[in-house]
Amino acid sequence: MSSKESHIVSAFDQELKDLSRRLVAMNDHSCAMLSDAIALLSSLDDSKARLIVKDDELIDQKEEEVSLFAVKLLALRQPMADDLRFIVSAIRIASDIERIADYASNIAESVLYMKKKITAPANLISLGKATLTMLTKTSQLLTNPSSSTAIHLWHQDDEVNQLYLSLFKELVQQLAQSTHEDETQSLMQYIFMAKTFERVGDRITNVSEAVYYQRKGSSLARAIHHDS
Amino acid sequence: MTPSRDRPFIKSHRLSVFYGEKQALFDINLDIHEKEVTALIGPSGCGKTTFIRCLNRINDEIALCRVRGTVTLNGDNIYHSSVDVVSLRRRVGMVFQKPNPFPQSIYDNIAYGVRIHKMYRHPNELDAIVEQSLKKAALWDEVKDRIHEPSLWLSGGQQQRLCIARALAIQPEVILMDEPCSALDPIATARVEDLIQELKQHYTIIIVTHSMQQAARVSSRTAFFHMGRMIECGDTKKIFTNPEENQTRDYITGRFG
Repeated sequence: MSSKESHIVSAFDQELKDLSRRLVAMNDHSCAMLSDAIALLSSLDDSKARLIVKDDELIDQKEEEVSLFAVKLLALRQPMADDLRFIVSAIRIASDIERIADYASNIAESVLYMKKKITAPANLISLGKATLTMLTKTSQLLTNPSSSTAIHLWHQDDEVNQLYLSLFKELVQQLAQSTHEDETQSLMQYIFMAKTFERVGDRITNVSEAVYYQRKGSSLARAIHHDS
Repeated sequence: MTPSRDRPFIKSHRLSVFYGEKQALFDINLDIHEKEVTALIGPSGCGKTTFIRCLNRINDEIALCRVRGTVTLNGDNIYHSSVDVVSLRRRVGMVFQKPNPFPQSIYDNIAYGVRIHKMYRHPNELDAIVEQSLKKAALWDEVKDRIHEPSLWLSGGQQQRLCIARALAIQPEVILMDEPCSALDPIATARVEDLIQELKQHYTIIIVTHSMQQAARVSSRTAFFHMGRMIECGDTKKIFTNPEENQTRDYITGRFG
């Protein structure tokens, strides 16, 4: 007997597909917000920043919907094995995506806080783009979940961490040389933004781990630790 | 590792069962650990009931039934020619799908096996055994004032616990339960499941169930049967979250058939 993909209760198949679609839609939305936040670093336009902050409410609402839907499936379908892992992972993933959208909103808020809009460091934009690349790949991973893609995406965070560390040093040096109070305050905001982007990468590693668990039923961190 | 894990309490080795020409079980190798609950799951006709019926040899009662292979209980081959099946069945009690109390009083139901096996010397001793058995089956408080009333006056859930008490009265080592809750409502089911948790401290329990959730709740090990073969056996936690075999996964997730 070969393994079958469809359930005897076909409505359950539809519900699982629906849950998957909702996660992808949520991730696409947070991708768009992060992309807007990166563009904001070039324009430093307060009105655009406020739009991003406003947008975050929608993601919060979507996360709540996904969680309630997942809880409904747990209660009504009493899933087992990979179905159970998928639904439990979906709750975790929705929470991570919601946090990523928060980070995009935090970056917009940092722009709003700046009294003096000094040009954003090029390396900060590069760092943002590196996380955006990861987040775009997250949408692909959620559309076609696979353990190998999850591991690949997880490792991409190393690059983000390296970019962050060198950018942090660069910004601290500039901060030491800064004499103007408003400029110092803006540089501080850029340091916060760098840290925020770094956290986006961390959240994506969480999503990778959840997808890996969903596929394999075991821990990605343990698998990587075991290989190294 | 506990001693019971090193040496299984019940061990079936290449156990095959035939009903006439039809083979119902194929070379089952299954270890049952002492004082643990083992759940047997699988679609109807997969052989799980046939398997447990081999453990107290009530399949012997079916004329066409033939058994090949060995089953050991605490090291003794229960199919050896020297084995007395009546004393085997005293060691291995059984509870069935539908509560089947004898059409007698509550008291006489419990006392039945105790009398047959002459397990008491004085009537007071028999009274004590009845009381203890009803207490172990969590039924005493509900029936203590009416133990001489007909058992058929009890509710379905109470009748099933009476059958469990009847099995316990003759001090078995193993209790076989064949879908013990399938005729019970959720409250009565919860009572029986709660009782199973109590009983496993003293008895080795094997339960056949069609409820995946029940298997997951009550057992520490689960075996999945399909078409007379044992497909997979392992820790319940593992079987229900991450089974090794696709057939197990398809069955427990409802992708079967």
